[in-house]
Order: sequence, then structure tokens, then C-alpha cells
Amino acid sequence: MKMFSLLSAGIAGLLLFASDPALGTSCVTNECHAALPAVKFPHAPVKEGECGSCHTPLAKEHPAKGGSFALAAKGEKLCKECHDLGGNKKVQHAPVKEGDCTSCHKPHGSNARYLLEVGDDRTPLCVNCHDGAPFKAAYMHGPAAVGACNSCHDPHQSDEKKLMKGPVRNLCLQCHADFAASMKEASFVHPPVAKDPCTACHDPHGSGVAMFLKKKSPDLCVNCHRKIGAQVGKVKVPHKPVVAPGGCSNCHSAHFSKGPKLLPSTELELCLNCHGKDNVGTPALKNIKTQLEGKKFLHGPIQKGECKGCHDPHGSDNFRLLRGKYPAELYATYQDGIYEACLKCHEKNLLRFAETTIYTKFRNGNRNLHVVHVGTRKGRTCRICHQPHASDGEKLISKDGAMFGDWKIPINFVSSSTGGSCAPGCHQKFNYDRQKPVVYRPE
Amino acid sequence: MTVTGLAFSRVCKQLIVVLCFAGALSGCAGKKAAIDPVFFPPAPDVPRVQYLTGFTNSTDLREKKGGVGKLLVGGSETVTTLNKPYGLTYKKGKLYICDVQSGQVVIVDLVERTMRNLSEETGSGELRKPVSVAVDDEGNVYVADSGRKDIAVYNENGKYLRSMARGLAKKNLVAVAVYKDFLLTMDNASGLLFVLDRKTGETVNTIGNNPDRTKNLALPNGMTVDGKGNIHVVNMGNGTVKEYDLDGNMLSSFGRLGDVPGEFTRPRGINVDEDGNIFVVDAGHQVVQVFNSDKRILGDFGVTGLPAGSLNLPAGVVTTREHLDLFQKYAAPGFKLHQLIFVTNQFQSVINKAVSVYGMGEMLDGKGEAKSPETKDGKTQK
Repeated sequence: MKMFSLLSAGIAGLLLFASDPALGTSCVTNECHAALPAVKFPHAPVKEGECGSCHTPLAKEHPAKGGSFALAAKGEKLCKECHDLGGNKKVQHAPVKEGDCTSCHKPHGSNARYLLEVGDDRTPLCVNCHDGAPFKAAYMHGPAAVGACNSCHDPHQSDEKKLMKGPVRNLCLQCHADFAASMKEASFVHPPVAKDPCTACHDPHGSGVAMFLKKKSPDLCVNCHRKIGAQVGKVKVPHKPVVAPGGCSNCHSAHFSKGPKLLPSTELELCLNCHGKDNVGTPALKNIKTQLEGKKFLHGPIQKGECKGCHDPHGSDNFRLLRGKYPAELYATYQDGIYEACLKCHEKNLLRFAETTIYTKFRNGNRNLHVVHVGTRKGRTCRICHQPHASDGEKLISKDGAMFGDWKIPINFVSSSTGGSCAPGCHQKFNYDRQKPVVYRPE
Repeated sequence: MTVTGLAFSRVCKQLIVVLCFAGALSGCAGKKAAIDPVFFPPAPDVPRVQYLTGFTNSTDLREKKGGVGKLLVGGSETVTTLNKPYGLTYKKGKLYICDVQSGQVVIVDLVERTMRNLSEETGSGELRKPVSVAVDDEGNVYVADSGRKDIAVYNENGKYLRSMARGLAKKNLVAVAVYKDFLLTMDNASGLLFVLDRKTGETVNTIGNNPDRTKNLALPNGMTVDGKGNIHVVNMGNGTVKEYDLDGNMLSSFGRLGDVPGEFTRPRGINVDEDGNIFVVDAGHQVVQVFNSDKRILGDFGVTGLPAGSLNLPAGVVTTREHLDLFQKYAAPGFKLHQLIFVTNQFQSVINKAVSVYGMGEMLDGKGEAKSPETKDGKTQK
């Protein structure tokens, strides 16, 4: 009796299925569901006419009020019948976790691959849920700009945060292979570049700053380089490249370099990029390159290729970005401290004592002629007689003459074994002698 | 057999002599009680200076002591002893120490571990009361003698060459120093410092007669010249240490009479090391105070009352960075010496030798790196 009832139910079911106009190829007719397979990429069961693999009839009549079909299973369980959805990684995309496959995929088919509503530009799909603002920034990362979200993110699951396809650094360097190769050969690599994810400085989608940096330089850089940040923020005389667009990157390479301090060239070459031209800045910067070219004597720091020995490239409270005090005026009577820029390297007692046998050779007998020139009411600053960068004259004494307005004051300095003489544009010729002092005003 | 009182007394005396002799022998073989390393400042502060050893006579310098044993087998030796050492200097592995009491300059060869008198000359070349000594690069020895009231000059073999600065002393020439071609000496009564030409003896400059008396000397005692040629003078009169250049310009002044760190009661010898650190002996506090080149006090060492390493009426001080290896063995494990400091004690006792040897250094950790914390400016404070 039981066997009979089961058999009769099976036959009844088979008859019902076979006679249902909505199943199999009969679901798609000119009148019904014609659009379903008429897409470029129909879902495989649709293409094969196997509607029953997903849909189960509920009623004899179709269409019927209240629905005549039900899905064979709910949510992801239905998809899992055919698709291996994984689910074994640390991070799951929210729709995947919730089994809501159809929030991204069209179950019957689509004109785009992967049953998506969108083509290669996935932005319209992703911003349905995600904030679209980063994708409208002024400066965009290439993949984000073209909506190639999947080039970095796995849309289903990942072991990395943010559904990244791999560790961020590795992911970046997979595309930026030329960058990786150059970095490998570089002598100096910025530590965050050497070990941290690129997203430490860059917004991987886009930002309002060139190179889609998270902040403009120097604000970005001083997050770590705090000491320089504090300096840049308070100096009275800023170095213009630091505060100009580009900030730190105007002088430093952000990633790696052949030279120390992430400079793209030697320090001197870098500085002369701007300070070696006639037409940079208003008023134009002095062309230091021409001051150095062919000169017999270079100032000590410049001999070592260093400008930073005297100037602070990040800004200073002193005239000409000097590292110590130095008068901006042409005349300044010596006081302790006001010639710090020079005297922190040169003899600190040079200008302290009117009589000396120790601190200078520029003396008549024991009379300190440096004090005569700088320690008097009309104190002549060092630059009146000495060139700060280079000169053909020994002791960097200006051979061609120091600038005095538009006139170059000749110095006409001649040295001897025990003294020397000057015949400058300031006074008549005077000799001086350390051993046999010259009497200037005989009584 | 009876023993008379006289005979008993004789036997007892002989017994005492034998026992004393035996005691002396056993004393030679006995071991001294171990004393923990003496550091300045003491723990828990980071150690900067350690007392290493001391010596009074030539036997103290020998590696192995066998004096009595050697005498028993018929040997003999000349023992040179420091009685009342005062000023001293260091040159090429040797200490030159003025012994005021014996009227000698004793040369201590740290490498050969020997001690001998500079000169045995009599007559015009005889020293009387040497208080300060300097040695030039040729090995000539200049001795300020408050008995002779001049600078007696000897060659490196102790041969008397000449007298210098005679007539300059109002009372006593209390210090002498050499810098390049200059010889410097100082009279304590007039408070004048004389810069002489080392070859001719001619007075090149006289320091201490400035109309501004605050820039002059006050009962000067110790004097030294640093590597830059600047002269540092200790003034007992007002407890100051003044720095002059060879022209006589006063460059700096610090210190005063008092009893807190950085102040002096009876300042004596002075020395400046290669880093510009200034060592000033104070016979009142019986310590050596150390100042950095900014004249900031760093600390002191040699305080009285220690089981070892205390000073006893100290007078002179000298530092060197040569031959550290000879004294590293006296340092505590892990304490790496950077500089040796020799200080003379005018009096000796069981625990005080005529010359105390200290080592300036730093305690290293197991990896050979300094444990010392760094100062704000990034320099390791020593």
C-alpha cells in the first residue's frame, strides 16, 4: 500500500513537470522570459535552459498569484550547489559573508562578464555600497581611476585586510616592477619605502595632492620628521623650496637615491640647480656657480661639497639661512655673538682682543688689524674683504673686489712673510708687519 | 736547670725577634683582604672614575714582591722612595714627581716599572725644594724649586744645564709649564705669571699686572697649559681658576672659596685633559674636582674615609691617555679605561700611597657597549 502511494506520487509529479509550460526550453518563448538568455553572458543554467536547477515549481498554474516557483535553496546555498565559494579566509566581503551574491551578480545573465552589471570599470558597482568620494579626487591612482578595483582587491575573500590580494607592499611592487628594480640598486632608501606599505604616504585610490599623497609635503613628511617640522614652522627665514608646492620633494627624493640624505645628486650640484642660474627668483638669486668656477681658493665647506656647513637648507632665523648670527647690514661693530656664523669655525677670539700675538696674523706688531676693521664704530663685516664662497685671493680675500653697491671695491691685498699690504678702495695703501710694526702716524 | 731573670728576658727577646721575622715572612706570603672596586661616584650612580692602585716606592712598582727573600739569599737592591711628593708631570711613559722632602725629582718609568732620581748633582745643579716640574719634547726637564728660587734645567740624562727665571721670584716660583717655545712660571707672592722664551730665557710676557685687578692672580698655586696653549691657574687667594691666553688676556674664570661642590678651600694642582676637562686638586676637601670645558662640575674623587682610594693631603695631578693597557688589569671587570689620573699625596698611611692612580672610563655591558646614559646634547658625560 505504501509502495503504491509513493509510486503514484512520483508519476503525478513527473506528469506535472512535463506538462508545465514554464519549465525547460518552454520557459523562454517569444512571449515569456525572452530577455533572459538574450544577453551577452547568460548564466550557464539559463543558457542550457535548465531553469529547474534553481527554480522549483510551487503551483500547477504559471503565472499564478502569490508565485508559482520557489528557489531550490536560499541565498548562497543555491549558488554553492555549483560554485565553490570558499569562505575559508580571514576576511570576507560583506555580501559574500551574508550570502547575498545577487547584490553584485545578476543570476540570469548580464552583458558584462561575471554576471556583473558593470564592465571593466567596476566603480559604479562598488560605489553602490562604498563611499565614492575617493574616486572623484583630483589625483587618482590608475587602477582606481579606471575602476579596476579587482586589480588590488579580491571581491570575495582574502587573508589580507581590506580584501587586498596580497600584502600591500608586494601588491604595489608587482605592478611597479621598474620602481622595485631601481630601489634594489639604490644606495639609500627612505626607511618607510624600504619596509612599510606604500599606503603609509599614498592614498591608494586618490587624493587632492599630486601623486595622491595623503597630505601635501612638507605636512606629510613632518609627521615623522618632527624636528624639521618644528623648525620649518617657526623660522624667520624659510628656504623657499620647503614652502613652495612640492615641499621637501623639491630637494629630496621621496623614495631612494644614490647619495645620502635622499638627495638626487651631490649636495653642491643640487643647490646649484637653483643657485647656479641667473634667472631664478625675484629678485634673481646670486649665481654661485659663476662665483665658484675656476677659482683658486674655495671656502672649506665648499671644498667638501657642502653648503650646509654654513647654510641651513630647512630654514633659519639668520640672514641668508646661515647657521649662526651674522649681520645683514654691511657695517656692524663687533660684539660677542653677532659674527657667530663665521666664528663658530674660525678662531672665536679673533675679534676680542685689540692686542694679540695669537689669534690672527693680520696684525701690525701685536695690533690686531681685524679688530681695527671690525671692532670700531664702523665695523666692516667679513664679506667686505672676504668672499664667503671662493676667491682667487688667499684667505678668500676678494681679488676682483667686493660689491659696494654697483661698484666692486678693489682690495689689492699683497702678503709677505711677516705681513702684507692693502690698497683698497677704502683708504690709501697701508703696509703691516708683525715683527717690525709700521708706524702709521709718526709723531 | 734554672733560668735567671736576665737569661729569661734574653730568651724572650730572641723569641720575639724570631717570631717577628717569621711573621714578616708569613706576611709576604699572605693574601690581602679583597676590597671591592672603589668607584666615583659610588653606586647606584654610573661609575666614571675608579681607584686603581698606588705606589710609594720602587718595590710597590714591581710585579712580584720578594724583598725579604731576596735579602735572605744575599741579594741587594736600591729602593727609591717618595717622601713628600708635590708637583708632577707625565711625558712619554714616565712620571716626573717632585719630592719636596728629599729635594729630588723622581722619575717613575711606568713601562719598565722602575723609579730613580732625576739627578745626583751637587753644587749649582743640586735641587733643594722642588715643587713643580715640566718636560719638553726633547726630554729636557724644568724644575721650579722654591729653595733655589729659580727654574733648574736638566737634560734627559739628568745633567744640569742651566738656571732660568732667576730673579723673577718675589717669594717662590711655584709652578712651571712648557708650551712650544715658551716656558711659563709663576710667583705666588707677586701673583705674576711669566712667559719666557724657552731657548733664551728672555721674558716674553708678564701676566697678572692688569689695571683691572679682577683679571689678575691671587696667591696662585697650580698652573697648567692645555693643548690650545691656554694657561689655567689655580688661585688660593680667592678660590678661582682663571684661564689666560699667552698674550695675558683672561678668557674665563670660575670657582670661589667655599665648601660645596665646585668651590675650593685650598686648591693646589691642576690639569686639563684632551677633551678640555679640568682636574683641580683641593687639599682642604682632599678631593680632585672635575669640570668640563664649559666649567660645569662633573664630580669629584678621592674623598677621605674609604677603605682604598682616599687622598691624603693631595697636591698635584696629571692625566694621560697613554699606556692604558698597563693599568687595565687593576680595573673592575667591564670597566674600560679611557684615561689615567695620577695624584700625589703629601702624606702616606697604610691605605694611602704617595701616588694614587685612578682610571677614568665607562662600564661596558656584556656586548661591549657603554652603559652610561647620554646627556641632552648627545655627548657621553664622563
